[in-house]
Amino acid sequence: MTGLVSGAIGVEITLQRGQTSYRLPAMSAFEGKQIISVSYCNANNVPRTSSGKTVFPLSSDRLELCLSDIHSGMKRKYSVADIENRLDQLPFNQTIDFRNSELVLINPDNPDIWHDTTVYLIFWYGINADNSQFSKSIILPLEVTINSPKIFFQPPLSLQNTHPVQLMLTFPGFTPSGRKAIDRSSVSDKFITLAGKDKMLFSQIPAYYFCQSHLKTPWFLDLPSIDFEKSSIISLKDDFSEAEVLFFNLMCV
Amino acid sequence: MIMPHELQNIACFEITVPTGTNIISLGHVNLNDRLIQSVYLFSSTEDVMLFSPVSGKQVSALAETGPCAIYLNLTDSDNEQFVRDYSSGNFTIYSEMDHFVSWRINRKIDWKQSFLKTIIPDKASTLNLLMYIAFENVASMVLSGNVVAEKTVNLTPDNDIQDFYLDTFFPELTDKTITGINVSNQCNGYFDLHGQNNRLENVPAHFFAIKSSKGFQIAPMKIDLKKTCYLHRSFSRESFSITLSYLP
Repeated sequence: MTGLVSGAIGVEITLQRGQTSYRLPAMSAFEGKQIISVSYCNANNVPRTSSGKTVFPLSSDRLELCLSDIHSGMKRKYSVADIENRLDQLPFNQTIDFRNSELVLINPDNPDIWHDTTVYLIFWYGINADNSQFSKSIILPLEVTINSPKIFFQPPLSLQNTHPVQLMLTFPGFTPSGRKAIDRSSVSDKFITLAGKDKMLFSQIPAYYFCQSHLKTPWFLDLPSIDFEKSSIISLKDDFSEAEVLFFNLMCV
Repeated sequence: MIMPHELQNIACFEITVPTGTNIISLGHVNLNDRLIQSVYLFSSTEDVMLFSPVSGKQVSALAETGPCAIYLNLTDSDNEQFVRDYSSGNFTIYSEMDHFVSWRINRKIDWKQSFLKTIIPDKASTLNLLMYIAFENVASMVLSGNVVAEKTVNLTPDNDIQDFYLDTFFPELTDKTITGINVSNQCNGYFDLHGQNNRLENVPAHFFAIKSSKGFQIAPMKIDLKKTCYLHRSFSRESFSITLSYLP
């Protein structure tokens, strides 16, 4: 996505045999928010949603997103395949009326394959702006050890009072302290929630989207701060006998 | 709108990373008074293996070496360590991909206090990588509205290591302002560009093949074509093309 992102929420829509149109869930967190991008999580990158549901396994060209603008009432259709694949990202710049917006399954063939699977969309809100002009930024390391289904970030003191602009997940073989870090294949079952001072800003976002180096357009935060002690990572794996370590770099100004 | 990172000067350093846990000083980087724009590592891939333009050795394919770690640590001329343990996964450019994060430093760096922290398993081989440091020394030329012409040449290498001097292929561009370089995908080498006031040293041609918002382009400059060359450094014998844009 482009622009400065002040929050994002993962939205799950579970498909049922015989139904082709699905209203988007009304979510108060989106009220008054300007949506600047939508991401589609394909089953390769994110096999299960944060709540553990199986992600829609077929091609995104079977799906269409119809978004209603809250101010004009106008509806605009987007091919989900375009949302997923176009190199020049689809422009979004609207405040969405979720109650009048819907996901449409335009090709319902082979229901045995898709029945009870879930389309997982990420709605990113913020402002469209030139996002690469940060002078005098600093870059800090952040290690997170995952040894239970939900863990909170363990921020070092150096992250206190920082103004974050970019959180970057990478997969070095070892962390700076010499601990073995997870590789990219192990990240598909991790979801990140980032909290601000008094509310959740990024809710259940696949960790994949924080691997900025693999994104065509890395994205930047538009937040005064992140409360890392209230921010968490969910892991869907079953066995926590061996801890996993995620390594991030945080760019601050 | 895609705005490539404009390169005014680039210095190239070959970095040898031994096995084990090491601190590799960057004290040999003689750019203390320069306004540094960015630092990148360059790595081969399994499919596109390149030789170093400095030593002729193979540039390691970092993704194929198994678990290893390289972290950049930079201290500026005001003695602030402003980059701590920055993972190479963010600033390594691979020879056929755009999996890196563009960044702008905009500081003068105290290179004697700057270093790479490396962790390479003992069973792995010593790594041979290239480090590129982009910096500014003059105000960039503004070209808005200027008409730009282009010339493309097709070249076919017949050796692993072969230098193509640009005055042979672009003689009519002598004394012209060069505004851009574009290359085809099979262009497995480097450009060594000598400008009037600047130098882009051994820049991987791949930098100019990246078409996403992370791409690079040269700052408009007059180039000494007699000194400037394209350095083919790979096993490939495939034909490739080089296109130079210029002010007619």
